[in-house]
Amino acid sequence: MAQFLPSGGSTESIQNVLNSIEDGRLAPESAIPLLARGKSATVSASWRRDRGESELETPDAVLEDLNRLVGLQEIKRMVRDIRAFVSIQSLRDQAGLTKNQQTFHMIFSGAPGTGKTTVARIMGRLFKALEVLPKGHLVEVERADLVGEYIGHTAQKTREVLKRALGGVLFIDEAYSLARGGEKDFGKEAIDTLVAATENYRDDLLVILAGYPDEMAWFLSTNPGLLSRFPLRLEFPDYSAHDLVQIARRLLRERDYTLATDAEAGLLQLLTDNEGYWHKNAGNARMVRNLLEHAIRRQAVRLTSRQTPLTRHDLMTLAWTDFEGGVG
Amino acid sequence: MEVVIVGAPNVGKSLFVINFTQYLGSREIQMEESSGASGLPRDRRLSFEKARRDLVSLYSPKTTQIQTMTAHVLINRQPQRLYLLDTPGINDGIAPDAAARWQIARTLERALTATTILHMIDASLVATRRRESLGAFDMAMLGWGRQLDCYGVIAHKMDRPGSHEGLRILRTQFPDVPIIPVSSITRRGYRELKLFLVRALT
Repeated sequence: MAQFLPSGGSTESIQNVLNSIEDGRLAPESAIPLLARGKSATVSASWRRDRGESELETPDAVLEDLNRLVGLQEIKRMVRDIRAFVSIQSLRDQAGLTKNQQTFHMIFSGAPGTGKTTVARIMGRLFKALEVLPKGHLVEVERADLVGEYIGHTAQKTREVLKRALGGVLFIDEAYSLARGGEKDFGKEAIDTLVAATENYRDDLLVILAGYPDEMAWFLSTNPGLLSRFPLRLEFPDYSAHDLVQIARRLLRERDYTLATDAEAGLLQLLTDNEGYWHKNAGNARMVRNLLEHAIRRQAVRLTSRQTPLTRHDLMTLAWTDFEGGVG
Repeated sequence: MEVVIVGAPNVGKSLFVINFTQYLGSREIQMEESSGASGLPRDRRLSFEKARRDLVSLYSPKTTQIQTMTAHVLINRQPQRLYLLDTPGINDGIAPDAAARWQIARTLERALTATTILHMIDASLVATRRRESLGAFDMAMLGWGRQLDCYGVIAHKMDRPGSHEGLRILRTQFPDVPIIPVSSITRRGYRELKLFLVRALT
């Protein structure tokens, strides 16, 4: 909350005003203008935050958030490139030079749980901070939200979704499923409407198509117009064992747990041994989370069956025994 | 999501909150009083008839503390809980009673953090010189509200004579504030109000 306050003093002054009303020193009608001065900044910020928007974010703050994500080096570099491009374009614009008409529609390919949605959300905030998109919110949809049940329904449904996403980011998860049904499927109609929209709302909408790498490659080959309209392609690689341990550590810190030394070594060993051998779409952050949740439950069982009194340290520490048997 | 209903005494806040909760499809009133006899918040469940009988008065101000009613609205087809805060009416000037002043401070405090503020005005009295017509408090609220994007005015008691004139005056004086004509007797305007809230909350 505190970071949304414009200056340190305003909560204090609101409290002062309220106290004065209670003490009978201030009538409500004279209090309201005083509160309004404090509120217009504070509450409209919290109101915006409730709606998932943020105010007064600088591009650097957004990039800072991006850098905090584990791994994803290639993505981070690409996003920095985009940021530099946009900044220079707006400077060129101010200098009276012609502005490049660049579209920023993107394709995210990667296994589930590799950070696609997270990065999409950051993209929205970044473009808002750079004043490319007015709102920067994220609308996440999938095939069922776009494709209708009868002829003519699809275009209408898709347009509704587009309207909702206008000013922000439209994130289509598992976009390849739109082309899955072949020529006669209504998914094709949705693609056509989308492709038209990417051109028409070029300045007001960022479309991101996301999905598994193989399926996305096939999807792009089905419609020749797609490749040229989605010039930015970001690949989300599977996390390495080292990254996954780092993610695990971070997830645990959020929940007030720590890894015992043997558990950390064991986890790294386990993840390294299996690197490249997980079934195709498993090497990801979601798997780590499931692993940890399992371990947390096993830890609880281990602690309840113990006779000695439990310390704070015991309650926080996950040992390797908690992980064993929780894999697969 | 919190919606705070503020206004002068006897503009119809309590009846509106009860009827609007019913309009939104609740089966009964689930109410939290801000302080029961023990000084702690108290939960009550009331039928609509009993709520109208116990909480609403025709002549003198009845609500003495903030009452929170729970209702649900569908937003993007998801039921979202909506808290409607019925507040004690606020008079102009400094209230002589310390308890009343305390309640006024709490009401304004809740308004500061609410998702939406609904400011209720008795439309049938706007054009008259009665005590309940637009006073200093209403003018101050309207002045504040036009700076907010989460504020709406309910022109209430639209079933009364003179209310249309009042609505016209409000609309010409405050063209930049959303004003929704409502009557809690005929339930006119409830639909528009629900749409307004759904838009404000998404």
